[in-house]
Amino acid sequence: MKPKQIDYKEWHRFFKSIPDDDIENTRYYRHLKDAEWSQYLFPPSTHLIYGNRLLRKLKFDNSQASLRLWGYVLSEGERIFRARQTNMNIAAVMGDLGAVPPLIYSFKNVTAFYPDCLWWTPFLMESSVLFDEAAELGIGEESCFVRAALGAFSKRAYFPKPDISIGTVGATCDDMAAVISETELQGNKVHYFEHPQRNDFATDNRHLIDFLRDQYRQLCSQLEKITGQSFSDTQFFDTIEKVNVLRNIIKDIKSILSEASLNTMGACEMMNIEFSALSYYGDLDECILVMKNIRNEMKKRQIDKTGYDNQDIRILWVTPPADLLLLNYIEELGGRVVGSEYLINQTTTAFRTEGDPFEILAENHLKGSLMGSSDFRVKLVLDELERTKAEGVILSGVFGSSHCPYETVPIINALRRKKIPVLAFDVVSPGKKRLQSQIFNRMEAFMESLRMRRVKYAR
Amino acid sequence: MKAIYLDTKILNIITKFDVLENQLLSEEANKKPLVGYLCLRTPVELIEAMGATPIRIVPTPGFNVYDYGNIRPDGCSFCRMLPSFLKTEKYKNLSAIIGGACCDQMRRAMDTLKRDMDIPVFLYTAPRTFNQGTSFFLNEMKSSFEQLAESLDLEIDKGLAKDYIDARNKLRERINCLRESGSLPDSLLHRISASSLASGSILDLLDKIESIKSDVHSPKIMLAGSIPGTWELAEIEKTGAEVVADVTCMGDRAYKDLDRRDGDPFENLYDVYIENNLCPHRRPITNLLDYIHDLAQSRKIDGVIYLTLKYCHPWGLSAERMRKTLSGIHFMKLDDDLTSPALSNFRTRVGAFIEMLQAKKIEQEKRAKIAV
Repeated sequence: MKPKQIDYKEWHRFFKSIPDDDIENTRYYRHLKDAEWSQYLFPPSTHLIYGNRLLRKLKFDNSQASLRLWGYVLSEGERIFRARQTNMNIAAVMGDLGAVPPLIYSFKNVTAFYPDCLWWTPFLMESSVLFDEAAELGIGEESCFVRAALGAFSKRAYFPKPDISIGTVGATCDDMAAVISETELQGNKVHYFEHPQRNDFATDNRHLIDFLRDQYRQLCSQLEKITGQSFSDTQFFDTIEKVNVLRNIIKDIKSILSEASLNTMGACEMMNIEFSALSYYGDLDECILVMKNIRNEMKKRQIDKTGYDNQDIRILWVTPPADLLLLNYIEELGGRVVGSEYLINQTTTAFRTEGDPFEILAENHLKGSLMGSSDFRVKLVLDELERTKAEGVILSGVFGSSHCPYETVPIINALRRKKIPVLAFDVVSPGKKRLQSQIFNRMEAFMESLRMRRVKYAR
Repeated sequence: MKAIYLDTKILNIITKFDVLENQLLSEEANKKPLVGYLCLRTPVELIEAMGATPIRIVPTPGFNVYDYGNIRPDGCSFCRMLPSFLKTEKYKNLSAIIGGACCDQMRRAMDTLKRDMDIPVFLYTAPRTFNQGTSFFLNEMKSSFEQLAESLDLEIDKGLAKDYIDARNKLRERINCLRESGSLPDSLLHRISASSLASGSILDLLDKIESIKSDVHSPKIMLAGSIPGTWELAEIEKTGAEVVADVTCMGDRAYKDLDRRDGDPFENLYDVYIENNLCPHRRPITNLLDYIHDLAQSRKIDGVIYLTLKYCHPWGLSAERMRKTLSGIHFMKLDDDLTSPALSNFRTRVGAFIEMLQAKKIEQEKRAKIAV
């Protein structure tokens, strides 16, 4: 089938052609026997009924691999409830903690999720319920969209109460720190994880690694208490191996995306793929299978030289947009998002597979996008630009975050010095239609200017 | 009338302060390097002990509100205006800047200064939680001060540090005593907090203000929130209210702990400035909430003015929690921006709040008399 982007109605019709066996065998928590509820291969219209109204407006890739990806991502909330139902321990991970989930998954019968990732829920549901709830608790529009996590904690309907919440404090966003604190005051048990400032000029990070190693040791003790299990080196390295497999698959996927002659996957799907490295949407084993499936599909398309039509302008997207419509829109305008810097650099590199487990985690932790200087983030963007040969950069800021006000100008300046056009705007909350249409106008103008630039350089 | 009298008297003392301090700064600019520092997590004794003069970076009259170059307008206006403050006369002779990491925006503002300024800027990481990683954070602080000294061709004299610790302890004790008795107006306290004068000189001046006594009829206020600008406190005091408790970083909170003289000065200073620091970015926040609650009780306050700077996350996003902590006490939250101060709005809101508190106070006094 020729790759293209289709809407949820088309997916609904197309779903009938999917073999029953595939539907029957696409399941999470495969280690649980007789779990009738664990199927997740459904068309987007199913998730629309659950309240994700934005799905009516989105365009999806038309492969079965993509359908599986969407089903897997959108069933995360249900999965966490099922985990509770089957007596698994649940850990909430909040903040820039890329190396914490591998430690959590080193214990048996435990799952992890990122409440921060509910930041896109108000957009998906086209509802301000979670933001309103957070505002009632004192965290309003001055905070970035992660405040939705507080609304979700308070509503108690989006995920079960975690056995432990691990929250970053230190060189990380203060609005998230405020959200974490407020959840604690509501009776949620929080283990604070110190996130020291990384001096990017320093050649010796030894003392930072030592400090973080101790932080991981302390966290490990907490996890031992909660799970009633002892930490096992063997289980840890097994988990690390799986996480490395996942991270390498994502790396491959990103390479295929930027190297293929045509666009082989949609930007929304790509964001879901990249974010899977955070907490694997609650099931590491299944996540690997989902991503392998996607990689195979993309690889096939690359070899066959197939992809979406009329998407040829190479775009690098900086900072993840909570509103998926923006990604779709740039594609409709002929853009192809070939690369990204989504603030999760800590989830991109593979772990060392030998040595002290806590030191391995500490080393990886130090790769974080936000714990160092703005110059470090600028470098990440420039490296991605170099890798993807993007023609233009879109920087979708997050109003109210504590990093955007300080990083936006240095990133723009660095890109302009490289003579790369850049469009910077802040994603607006759901329902602010006038502001949204202004952003669309700016995106249109930006794409027009990139096309004209192409013509000019061709001359 | 009482309010105006108080105001004039404070004004005279503050003017004396200014004269003395300006003299010191102009003299010392030729002799000692001036080191700008940020916030409550910087042990000024160490700057003094290396033979430099510490000068706290605070909102300064005359800064250019449009000069925020590389920071977007949704950054906290204090952090955004830092580069602009540093261009004012007061800070023109700085040789270096140092600060301990507190909130994330401050960390990022320091990062911006590091990139954009011609003088050395040192930022050391500091804990957000309590009693964790002491040796790591202590070492971070120590090495930053050593690097600072080295960059200025100076050395930290530990013996001298102990003397400065002693002197500052005396100042803290004196300030706490005066504040508890209501003899030290808040605007003067803020002036002291931002002062570069040696502790001894400040103590000399404090001896001259004992005659100021609290007025039992004026509403007793707690000031909480982000660092105030240059005029808010004066506006509050002009209404006749007395700010008897101040938990901003320029108020009572800055003097709450005494330092130990014995032992390693680095360790002692670390305890006071870093470990025991109660800024709102520390977790769990309950330690700060308890401190504020206890201070409100002990100073018998009538109302709280909670003043936040737009986009100051640690204070702004804790306001509702503070209101709950201080339930039963009248609480007014105001949001402001250093770059576009809403003076008239502020005056009207504060005026109405204080009038309401005064009316309640008079009513209570009448009821008490009738009961007697």
